[in-house]
Amino acid sequence: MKRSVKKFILQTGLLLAGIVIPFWVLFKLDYLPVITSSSMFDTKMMIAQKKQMGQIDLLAVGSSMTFYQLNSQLMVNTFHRSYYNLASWGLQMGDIKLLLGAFIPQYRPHYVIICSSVGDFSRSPNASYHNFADAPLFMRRHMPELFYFKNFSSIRHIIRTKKDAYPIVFDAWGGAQIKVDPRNDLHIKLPFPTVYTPAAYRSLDSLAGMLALNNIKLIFIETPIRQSEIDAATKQHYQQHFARCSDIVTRHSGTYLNYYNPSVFTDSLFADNYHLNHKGATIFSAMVVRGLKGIVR
Amino acid sequence: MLFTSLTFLAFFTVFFICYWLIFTTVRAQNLFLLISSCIFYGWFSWPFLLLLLGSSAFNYWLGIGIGHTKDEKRRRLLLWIGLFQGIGCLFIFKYYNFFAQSAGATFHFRPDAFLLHVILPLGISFYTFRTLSYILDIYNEKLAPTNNWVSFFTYVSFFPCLISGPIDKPGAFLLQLKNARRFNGEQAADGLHQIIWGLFKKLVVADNCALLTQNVFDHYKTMPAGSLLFGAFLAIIQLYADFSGYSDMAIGLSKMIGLEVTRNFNYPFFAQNIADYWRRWHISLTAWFTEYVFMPLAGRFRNYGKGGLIGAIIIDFAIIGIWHGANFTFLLFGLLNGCYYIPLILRGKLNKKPPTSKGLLPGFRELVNMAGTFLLVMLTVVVFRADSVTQALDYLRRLLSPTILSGFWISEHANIYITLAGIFVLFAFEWVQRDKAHPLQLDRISGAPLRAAIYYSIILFTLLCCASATNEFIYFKF
Amino acid sequence: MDQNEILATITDVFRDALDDEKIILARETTAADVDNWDSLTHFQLVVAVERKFSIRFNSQEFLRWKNVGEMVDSISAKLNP
Repeated sequence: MKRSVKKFILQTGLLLAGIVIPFWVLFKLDYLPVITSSSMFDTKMMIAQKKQMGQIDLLAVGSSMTFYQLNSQLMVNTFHRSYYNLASWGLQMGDIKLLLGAFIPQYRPHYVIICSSVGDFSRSPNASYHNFADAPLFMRRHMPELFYFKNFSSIRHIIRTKKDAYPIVFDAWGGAQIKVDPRNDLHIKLPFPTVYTPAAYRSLDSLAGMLALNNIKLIFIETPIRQSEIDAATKQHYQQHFARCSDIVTRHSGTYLNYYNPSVFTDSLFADNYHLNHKGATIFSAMVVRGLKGIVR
Repeated sequence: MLFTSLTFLAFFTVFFICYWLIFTTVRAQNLFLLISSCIFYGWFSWPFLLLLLGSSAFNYWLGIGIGHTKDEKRRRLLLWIGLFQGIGCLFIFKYYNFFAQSAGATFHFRPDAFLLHVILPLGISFYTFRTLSYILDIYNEKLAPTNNWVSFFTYVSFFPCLISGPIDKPGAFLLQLKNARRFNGEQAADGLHQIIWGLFKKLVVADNCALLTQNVFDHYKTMPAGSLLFGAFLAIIQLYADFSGYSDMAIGLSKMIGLEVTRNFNYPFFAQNIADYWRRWHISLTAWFTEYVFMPLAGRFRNYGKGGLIGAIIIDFAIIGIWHGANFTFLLFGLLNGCYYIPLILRGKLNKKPPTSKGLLPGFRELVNMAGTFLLVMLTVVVFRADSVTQALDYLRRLLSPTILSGFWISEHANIYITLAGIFVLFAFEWVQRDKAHPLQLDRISGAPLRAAIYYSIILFTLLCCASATNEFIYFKF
Repeated sequence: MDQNEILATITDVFRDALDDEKIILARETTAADVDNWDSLTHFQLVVAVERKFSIRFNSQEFLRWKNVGEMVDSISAKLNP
């Protein structure tokens, strides 16, 4: 009887190999598993995984605010500490909180830097980030191939996702330069505050609390917003938002820095209403670095 | 642990190897099966595992009580206690809030204070029906109570069928637990093939349909009737592929464990009338209700001739409807299906199965009957699927309007062609293989390489074309 | 009427009610052995048998038969009290 069991297990193993091999080929060809609904996030996590980084002192997280505007080279050259930018566009405060929960045990940072703007407080979090954050650390760190089977995306979907992905050139620390394309500048004004804003504040609060509990210093940086698009009423909402964030962050003994400064960041330094262009981002990063000098030791 | 999750794959692999290579005596196998089932269920929720075990223990004791008493009064009392416990649990967890809210709406009070904050224990509708059928069978003297608690607990909590059935009758199942299972390579391979087919139905057909039907049901007010017709068509295919795919996986897993469980679907879309359809759809549930609800009712009403029979059928189906969940849509779904029986009963054709063809092509009459039955059932699935009766009626009203032949528009993003290809493969295989327990029983084909090629093509089709967005089985809600 | 006659009569009733001339019943036959004999048709068979023999079963009886033999015994007990 045992022989027949073993024979069956062998046959089933062959069948499973027939399933695993196509995915293995895909992986080798860089058609990476679809983990979340953001292909940029997936790509970035795979790049980070391949680097097999250990502990990271300075961890930058957040949305495109952090991703595009924090100049990696400048950060590394100034602080001489291990640094990586894990930010990804479209992340909301709730997503950032969720992902930090996964990043902290993996990277054990001393400082977490979040560059943020009202856009991070205006939409609902995306549930698909759970697919990544809830996966076991071992899998995220050593066996990302398993994501093919954890999430069950069709091969068609995987190939199409790669084909349709927006091309981004990452620098060695996960950052990138924004591409200035005037067609992208739609002068869109994000609605703010929205129904999701109160929950986003709660997320920031629990995020700050979680970092404090782990003895990690939170540095929360308010990014510039294009002045010419702001009317008086909006301006008042923004001021309230700054006060609220400052209150939450400092209550958990984090550092709050605000670079919303229309006299420095004039309209010509913006790529759209909320993103600085490369020149603007360089100026912004220089100011951030100066601001952090007394804090990061 | 969903059957389609990596966790379950790991769980079952370990289980399979231990079960066949380490535990070879009947006691060890049963005990190991029980412990594994507890782990499986505990993975969802530990507190509810206690409810499951408590329920099992109570009914085990009742079974012995009923079986060993000659006193009819006492037997009846114990039976009623059992029915009260089983139906009571279902009522509290599943229906109480619904009744409180409905009563509130009728008698104009705010029901908030009376609502219970409970969530539905997974699979309770299914395992409760197992315990109920156990004590009913003992009461009806069709079954002697078992003295082996491990067997009985295993019957109630058997993990492949625990969450969504099939609902096995206790007699046949307990009999299989009497002797040690010996590994049978053919049975295990057959189970594996059935799982492959189930995965294809779930991942390719049901999940792709889900993306489309979600869109139609969310925006039906702005769509032409042609789209609504297409949406209704996809909704019934989705429901079938989802649930029968799940059942195929459950039955296939059982076969790999060396246990035969009851069949749950017998190609329902090839049914030629409504009675035929319900003999082929969710068989284990319909059979349960026919035996324990319809038969006693029909016995009670038999002095009223055909009218009594109709009454029994309609009540039976109303309860079947409500079993699916606490919503008037399910009740209406049941009532509609019950009413479909009326012409059949009046014409005295309830017992007679229409002739079926054996060849590759169906007869003309057969085809017309199948299409008609399909359309009738499709309309009830709209009700089943809708959020409220108002929405269902609104959907049907818009569906049955002059624009029905307008052609359809769904969404530019959706994989319509993949979905239709999946449905075509589903129907083609099921039609050709309609005399088999599942379509991947390819014993007609003598060449092993050709068979392997067919299995692998289905797998490859699944890998290439499965939908990615949804992951939950529809029937888990019930 | 002896048991064999009863069995023959029931067979006729079954053939008629289920519209299947190929049905052959023995004492050991169960519902699983006969096409179309399921719990839905069972009740109609019971009524047809009652009508044929002019007898009446109570629901305790017809819910408990495990095979044709037990049905025959029930009928025989009613015909020859």
